[in-house]
Amino acid sequence: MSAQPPLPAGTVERWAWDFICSTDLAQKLAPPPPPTQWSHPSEPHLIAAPGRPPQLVAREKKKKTPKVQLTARRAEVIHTFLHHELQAAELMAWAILAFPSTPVSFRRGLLSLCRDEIRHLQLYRDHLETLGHPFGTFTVNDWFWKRVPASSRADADQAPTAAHFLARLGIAFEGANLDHGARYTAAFAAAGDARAAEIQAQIVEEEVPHAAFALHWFRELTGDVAFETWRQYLPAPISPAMARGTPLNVEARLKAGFAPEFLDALAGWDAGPAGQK
Amino acid sequence: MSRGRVAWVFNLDAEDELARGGPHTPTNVMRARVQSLMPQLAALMLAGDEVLWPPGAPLQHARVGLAWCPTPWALEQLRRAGLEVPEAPDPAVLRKVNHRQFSNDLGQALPGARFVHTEAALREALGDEPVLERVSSERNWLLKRPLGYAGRGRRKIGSGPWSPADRTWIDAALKTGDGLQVEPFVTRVLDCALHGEVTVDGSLRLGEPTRSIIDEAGTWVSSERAGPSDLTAAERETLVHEAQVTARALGAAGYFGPFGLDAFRWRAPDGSTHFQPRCEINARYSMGWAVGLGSS
Repeated sequence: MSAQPPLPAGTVERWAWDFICSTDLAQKLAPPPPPTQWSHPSEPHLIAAPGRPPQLVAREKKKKTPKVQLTARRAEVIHTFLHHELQAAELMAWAILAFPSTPVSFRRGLLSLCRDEIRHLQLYRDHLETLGHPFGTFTVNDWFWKRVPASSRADADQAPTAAHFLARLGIAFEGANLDHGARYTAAFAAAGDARAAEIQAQIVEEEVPHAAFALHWFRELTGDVAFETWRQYLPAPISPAMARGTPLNVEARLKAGFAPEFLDALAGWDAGPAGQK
Repeated sequence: MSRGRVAWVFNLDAEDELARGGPHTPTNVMRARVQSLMPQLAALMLAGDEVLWPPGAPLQHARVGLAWCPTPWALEQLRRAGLEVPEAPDPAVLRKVNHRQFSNDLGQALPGARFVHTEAALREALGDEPVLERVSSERNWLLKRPLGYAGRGRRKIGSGPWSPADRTWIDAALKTGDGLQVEPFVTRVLDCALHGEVTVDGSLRLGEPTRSIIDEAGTWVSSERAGPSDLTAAERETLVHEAQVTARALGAAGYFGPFGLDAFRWRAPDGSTHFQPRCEINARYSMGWAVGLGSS
């Protein structure tokens, strides 16, 4: 991470840089609105890792997701989801800086998605506070940061590409979130937390266009959005098995534009040869 | 443009039919409105073309039909008249690609713009005052129903409490479950468009950018070819690129036929100007289509 932002102040790119690199919790959770000006740098700026406020204590290992019946455990789950939204927002900003030669309408779309993710994390933040466990109560894992930038390229020694980024974050992870989100909407409702269920349902609904955006631009950049094409843009050890929840939220995925054949292949991925998990 | 002589159905209320679904009958007001627009619509007609709807003189020569938008009602008019009905996209495809959700899914370009389905999400969008302050000189939002046309189905709304009339309009709009486009009301300093045609085999024909005269209510008044000084080179390039991307998205969604992409240049309260390369996708003919695609 550079200490000297190389981007002109008052531009969207500098805003993206500041948002990612900030170590101030208040700015992470409620950044100022982005400027209207773009600097359109000619070179990519690849940020290796986000700034992390001291209140956020990192953990290296993935934890099993707790059950949600108990308030404290439910808060832990929502805390994790908030951190997912934060990472998604940061990674959208990362992509604005990483892919300056992509069409401006793609990068404008990324900014719009970034702001959606910020709104989503704020919904979780507000609810966490009502549950008595503000953001920072639990440890966080930068799981997406460890995977998305590193795998947004064909090979380790190559530059990242927008198609790899979309395959990974937009189609795989945001697609899977449609499945997981629907399951947790039901789980929160069953636990009697109507507000958490309402927030979760809203986020699922609003992330349908995120998956649609990813599918559209992946097709635009690669010429195709077939399952096998997408799979080729998932570098090992990532596999389609990581890009789905159980059950698939077929209705939301179809609404987003996933083809039925794609969903069949995704659902049936375990049936493939051994090792294709 | 080159094709044989056709009989036209100018169903300019296609979005109404697509929004409601099911049987459709144009209102008398709509028929009168279309009749009043015939001088402008004539730009789409080639020598020898005739008009089946709105009804006028009996057809003389035409054997083939053509619709402003090939909705089920329009195709039925052609069938009933004994005309050859052109191949057309499925009505569900027409609805999908003309719906503002489709454009939303390609990415929002205006700061603060969102497509919402619930009142809670709408209130959240309208609460984004810092963005409104930077973008809208009037400090107003513009709400657009998902299948509006000719400036219909829009409402300007402030960031303060809703008036009873606002409330009624919003309730009616959200009741359909179809969603609403919310965007800051910006000061438009140039309206333009790029028209084209996606063929059944997916190839694309693009016209020349046009400059549009739009009235206060957002209704088209006239179009002319954009002159060399109307659009900057960067704006022209962005518009063409956006039209190519949009055309591929239309084709991928199963659409073929004419389309238009509306765009505009806007001025922020700080005086800076910006280009919005996609404010409307019209997957049908549009008033400026012949100006953009014609040979003149």
